[in-house]
Amino acid sequence: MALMFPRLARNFARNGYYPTDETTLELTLQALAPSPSGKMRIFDPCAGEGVALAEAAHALGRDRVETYAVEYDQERAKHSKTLLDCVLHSDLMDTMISRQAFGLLWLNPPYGDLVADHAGASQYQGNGRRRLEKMFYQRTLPLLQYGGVLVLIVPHYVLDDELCGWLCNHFTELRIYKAADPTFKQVVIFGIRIRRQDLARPQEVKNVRARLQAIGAGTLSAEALPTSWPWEPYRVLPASNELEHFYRISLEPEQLSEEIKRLRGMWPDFTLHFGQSGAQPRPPVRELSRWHLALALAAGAISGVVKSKTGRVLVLKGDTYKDKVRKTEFTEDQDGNVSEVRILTDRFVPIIRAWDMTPGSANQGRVITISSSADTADTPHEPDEAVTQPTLTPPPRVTFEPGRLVLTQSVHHLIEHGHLDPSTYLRRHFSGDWGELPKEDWSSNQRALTYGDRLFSCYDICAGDETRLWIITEADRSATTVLLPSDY
Amino acid sequence: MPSPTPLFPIEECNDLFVDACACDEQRNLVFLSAWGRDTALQEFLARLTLGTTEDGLSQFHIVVDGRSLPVFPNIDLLEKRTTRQMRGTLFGSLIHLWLFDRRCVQPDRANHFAYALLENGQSPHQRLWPLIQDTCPLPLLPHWQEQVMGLLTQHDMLQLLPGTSGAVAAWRLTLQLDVLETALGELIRQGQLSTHAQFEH
Repeated sequence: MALMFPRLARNFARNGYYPTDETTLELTLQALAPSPSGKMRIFDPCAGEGVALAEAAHALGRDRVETYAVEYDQERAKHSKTLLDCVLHSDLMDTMISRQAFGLLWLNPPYGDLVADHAGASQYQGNGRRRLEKMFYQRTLPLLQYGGVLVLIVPHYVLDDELCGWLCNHFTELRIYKAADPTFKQVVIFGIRIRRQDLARPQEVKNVRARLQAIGAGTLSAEALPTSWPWEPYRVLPASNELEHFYRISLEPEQLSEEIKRLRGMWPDFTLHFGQSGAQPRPPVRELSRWHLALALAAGAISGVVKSKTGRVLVLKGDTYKDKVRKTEFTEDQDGNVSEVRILTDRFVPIIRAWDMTPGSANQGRVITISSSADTADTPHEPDEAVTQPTLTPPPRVTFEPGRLVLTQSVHHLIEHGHLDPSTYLRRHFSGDWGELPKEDWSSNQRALTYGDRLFSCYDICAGDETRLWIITEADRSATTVLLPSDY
Repeated sequence: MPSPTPLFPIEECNDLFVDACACDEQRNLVFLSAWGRDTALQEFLARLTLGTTEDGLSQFHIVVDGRSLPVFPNIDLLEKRTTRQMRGTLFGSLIHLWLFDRRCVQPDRANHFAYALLENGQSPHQRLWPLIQDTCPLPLLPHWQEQVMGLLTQHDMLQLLPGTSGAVAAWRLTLQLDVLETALGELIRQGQLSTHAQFEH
């Protein structure tokens, strides 16, 4: 045997799609009436192109009705979206929908048998013939409000004992009619959902059930839909609560993409999040006072062109970074135990860099850096001679005993004739400014301060023929001698 | 009809979709924009945090045009932004997540390094120049923009990252101060950069 009868295959290829014919739709809608007040919510779980539910909404008063639908086929779902308020393109079994949320359930399910369930894992729970119609009925029944209206359109032969039993137990005011178009042998069943305990007398239920079963078996033919509805119309209840859930469970890119386009999420704030850094600064509205300048300098906010009175032109930029100052202390207690304490202190280091733009200057196009940081590794390309590198932190205090002051004969001579004033150089020597010394000699002086060795300074002077002045403090700090190199 | 915003699934996380992603040449994550439900997002973030341990993710793959592209997140550098739940969508409550290298919002001044994220349609020069001025410790005057940006591009200090999907562009700024200082100094000496803006009439 083939996998499936060809006629059935055509049916399934359309996903069991049998739109309700126009006449049936028109006559069916006559049986419905809107609630006198409130918003109504109506639902078609197999909406097709959405025509039936849209017409129902229209009949009930379009602006008082919210329409919800699910459709499996993508094209038809797309069409439905143009007619209805909320449409999920999804398998009904892949949806999360709040219970008792709808006043009207328009159920025209796909027609056909379920796949034989060899694994026992089917959605369908029942003992009768396994039909798609029943599975959809079971899935959607809980979504209908109590007192809500069911319109069920199925082929009459689906009405087996099981489905008839369900209908009689779940609904009251059941009526069944033949569809206008006989092609698919459809019947239209109306009912009002009822709680089991409110069911009518057993005898009445039994009669209705027998009638449904007879129509299902084909021994009795249902009446045609009346051209004008002779009974009390089925009133669609207003929605009693907010619809909490109505969504597809598995994420599907195309619809998600539509939703993202609608929701936008954080995208409208993109620039707010990522466009802030490097926002164009505005020039100040007034000339900066000294106070402004100091603050801006400390904050590293100064930048721009600066011209000095002497004609130097600089383009500068201020900055501040955080540095750690490391301090290590050793302490020794009475027992000779040595403990080491390391302290890291945060320090904010302002650093100002400037292009020298002075026309004709030797340093034109070079960067000048001013910083309180001792670490000059940051600026390896500093031109030596032009760099002004004032140290903002005070120089370390140098203290040593100079002892007796001694001048050599030749120095004495220069002073006497007014060629030399040694006080400046002595002050420099006493404050630890060793003058024009090679690096090694400078650092040996620094060591000498700690260990009590000889201190030696050398200064450039302009005194007659003499160009150098030496100052020496003895290792025992007994005397400090001012001399010329030739005296040594 | 092409869909308005193409979405890229994450192989390791079925319930998340990416609408924009930017990576550098080594596929290190710079920016990721993803959508999903609360649970899926939480799980994703949790697995990223765990890294190689337990059921964590040290890398994940996004599928672009049928190709699976690896993405390497550097957790220590990443920051996140999320929306509150957007209720009542076709898929229930959705959340929008942005995951990005923190240098996208704050330049690394110590290393003179920054990322710039631009939405499609934003003029790169207009957005990048202030960032360059901000990140560069050397003073740069506003009217130097053209020459400086030309120089940065020429020396690969300003690069458009190649690995982007979706409606974002990511630029990387890596300033090599020694090179820049020499080159700019040369331009100043040649008179091409001056303190006065040159207006062409």
